[in-house]
Amino acid sequence: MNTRTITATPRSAAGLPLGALAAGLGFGCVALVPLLVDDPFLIHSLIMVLFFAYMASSWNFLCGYVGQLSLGHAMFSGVGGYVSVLMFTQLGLSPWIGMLFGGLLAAGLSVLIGYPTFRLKGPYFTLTTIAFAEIVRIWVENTNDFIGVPLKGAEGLVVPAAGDSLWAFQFSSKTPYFYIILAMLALVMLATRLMERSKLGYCLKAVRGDRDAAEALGINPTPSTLAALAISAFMTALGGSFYAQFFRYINPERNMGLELSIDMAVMTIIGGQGTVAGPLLGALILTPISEMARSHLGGGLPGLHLVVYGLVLMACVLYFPKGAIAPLGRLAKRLTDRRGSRP
Amino acid sequence: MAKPSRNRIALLASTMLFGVLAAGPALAQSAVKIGCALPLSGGSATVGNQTRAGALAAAEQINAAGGIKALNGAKLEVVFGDTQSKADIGVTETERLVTRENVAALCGAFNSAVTFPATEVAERYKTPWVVVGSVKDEITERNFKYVFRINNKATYDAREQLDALDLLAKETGKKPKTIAMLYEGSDWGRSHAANVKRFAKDRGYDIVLDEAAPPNQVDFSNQLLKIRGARPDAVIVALYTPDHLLFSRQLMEQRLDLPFGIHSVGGGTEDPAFYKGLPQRAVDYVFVQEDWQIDKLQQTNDKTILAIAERTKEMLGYGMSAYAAQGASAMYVLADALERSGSTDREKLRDAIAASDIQSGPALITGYGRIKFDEQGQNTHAHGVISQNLNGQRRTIWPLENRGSETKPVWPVPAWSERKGS
Repeated sequence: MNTRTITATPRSAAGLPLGALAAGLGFGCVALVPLLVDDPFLIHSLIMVLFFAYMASSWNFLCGYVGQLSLGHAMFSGVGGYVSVLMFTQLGLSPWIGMLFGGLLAAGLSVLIGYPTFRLKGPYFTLTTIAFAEIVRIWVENTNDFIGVPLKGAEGLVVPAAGDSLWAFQFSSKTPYFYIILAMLALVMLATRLMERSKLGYCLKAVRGDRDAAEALGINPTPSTLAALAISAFMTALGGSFYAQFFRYINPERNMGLELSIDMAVMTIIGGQGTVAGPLLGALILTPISEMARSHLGGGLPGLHLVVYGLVLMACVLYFPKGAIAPLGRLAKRLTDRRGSRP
Repeated sequence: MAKPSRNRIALLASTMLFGVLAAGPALAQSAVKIGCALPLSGGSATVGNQTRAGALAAAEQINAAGGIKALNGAKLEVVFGDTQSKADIGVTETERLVTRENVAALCGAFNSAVTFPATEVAERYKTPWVVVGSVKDEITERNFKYVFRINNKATYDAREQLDALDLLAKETGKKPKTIAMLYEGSDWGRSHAANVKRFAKDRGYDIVLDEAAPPNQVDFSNQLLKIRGARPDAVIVALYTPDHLLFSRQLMEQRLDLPFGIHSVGGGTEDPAFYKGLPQRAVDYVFVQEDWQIDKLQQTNDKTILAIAERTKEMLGYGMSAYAAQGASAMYVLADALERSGSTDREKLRDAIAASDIQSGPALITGYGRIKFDEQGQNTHAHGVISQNLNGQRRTIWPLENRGSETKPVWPVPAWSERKGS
């Protein structure tokens, strides 16, 4: 058993954990980007990377630590987006407040779904999550009006323009969106880090390692997994609200569809599930690759960029089955070990 | 000695600098970049690639004919972006085309769900966008200044189907009274059905069946049974290719008689692959509303249009379609505006597009009589064309101006028992 990671955290000279120092430095550098370059396309692309890193991190909060594969998380993102948009258009409520309601509704829904399904293991759990998400998506696509709420079916919802307004979560420049999603990502990574070191984190990891053994040790898997699911759903929903405000348009096909769920899972798995930085790394690798492949190959030979994307995925799975974070982690460990071994 | 030489160097340097500066705009004018955001992969890839082929073929023709004359023969260069039918990717691609490729104007993006948010990006960057294929009404109802739509709004599609019923009724004195609706249950089918319902009421038709079908069905028996039970005079259908294929095949097998026929609003029946997958009997007398005139190539003698059709066929392996025609039309609308603006400046180009009034030429390849935009950027002269499948040929029957002199619509359509070979 690897006790090192639990007992001894490598510390810098100032006594801060090295990981925290690196994270702080990294986020600080990224936060400077909009001040240094005035390039809307670059900022837009960075927002997309951060957004997917955020979504993948939210997914990782549950699935990476419990070791169950959910392919229904897009539903939570859709619920978050729909609730914040509808509260804004129908009640005039600020999306900042609406997104909290969306998050709570998603968390509630996740508990309703999770309670019966967490008893299922492996593919059965995955299938159930797909089924639930698809049911919700199809229902929304086919419902124009639900008890007086105009869901507008498959047509999707438009967020009416409200000018430059913090209250309405709408900005003409991309920079505010950049800082918002950067802060959201920092928060979810911090939450993951805290959870890792909490009782909840240890319970989840025990359940992931061997569910029966964990139960024999007196850990009841249901409350801890449900808590993690609810938090994960809440955060995913906030991401959905961000998407709705950034693009000012959502529809069930994209914002509740299977493809978004798969994106979240694939980025986490490629980056390294069950780690704090893995999802961010996955998004950092995959989003630019798909973007570059698309802009360089997409117009000439249609579809080739998807082939390239697929090849990268296959290479990652073959060579880094534990995620791209694993070799980086080994490198970091070797560096800190060398320092630590000196008396 | 040193002084004059330094002056000479300075003179030389400034001449060179001036030369570079002067050459800059001249070089830039040798090509006009047009960005085109289309679904080139994913669910709508066939449509996107047809539009791409049409746009490329049209640009080739324009360039071969001497490019944009007002810009010293500048060539059109079409840069494509793949939206993958997703709103966020479409927005990202639009950002890239505007800021990285520096396009003078944009076109696209077929899926209304992509066009809607992507045109907002174009509006923000004050870059003109010519909408291709998207029919969502609101796209040209937002008081935008840079968004123009050549083709129909969704409401036009529904209105035209009933206009055709009315026209045939007026010509023959035989008017259908009841209509059944069968449509796919997502965005397009639903909004179309809602529009048909609205117009039908005003025109005195009874909707006796309103049936939404989930996509990719394996059996239409149930829906056919419902239609048989409702005994409608005519059926309005909005289905995509796979579902439309199965529906038409089963309807033929069940020999379901509809006195005033099947009226399909494109989708599957616009797709050239649809006609390859069915025996002729299954599509006899079927009415199809689509965004271009299917017998245009037989009726026109415009060499450019025929050349575009030839080139498109070379690229795709099958004939022209509504989507290819729309891509070609967009290029000609932009070329026309560039000739009048004499500049690739986005603001001037925008004003030129807004002032467009095209009444002839290849821009009207889709079958419209005129292209002129209202203050919301909608071409109010846009219309689809409705054809009837007669003796294995799809012949235009509506509008009357587009109907060939030898075309005689069959109305009402013969019962299955009266058709040849049964």
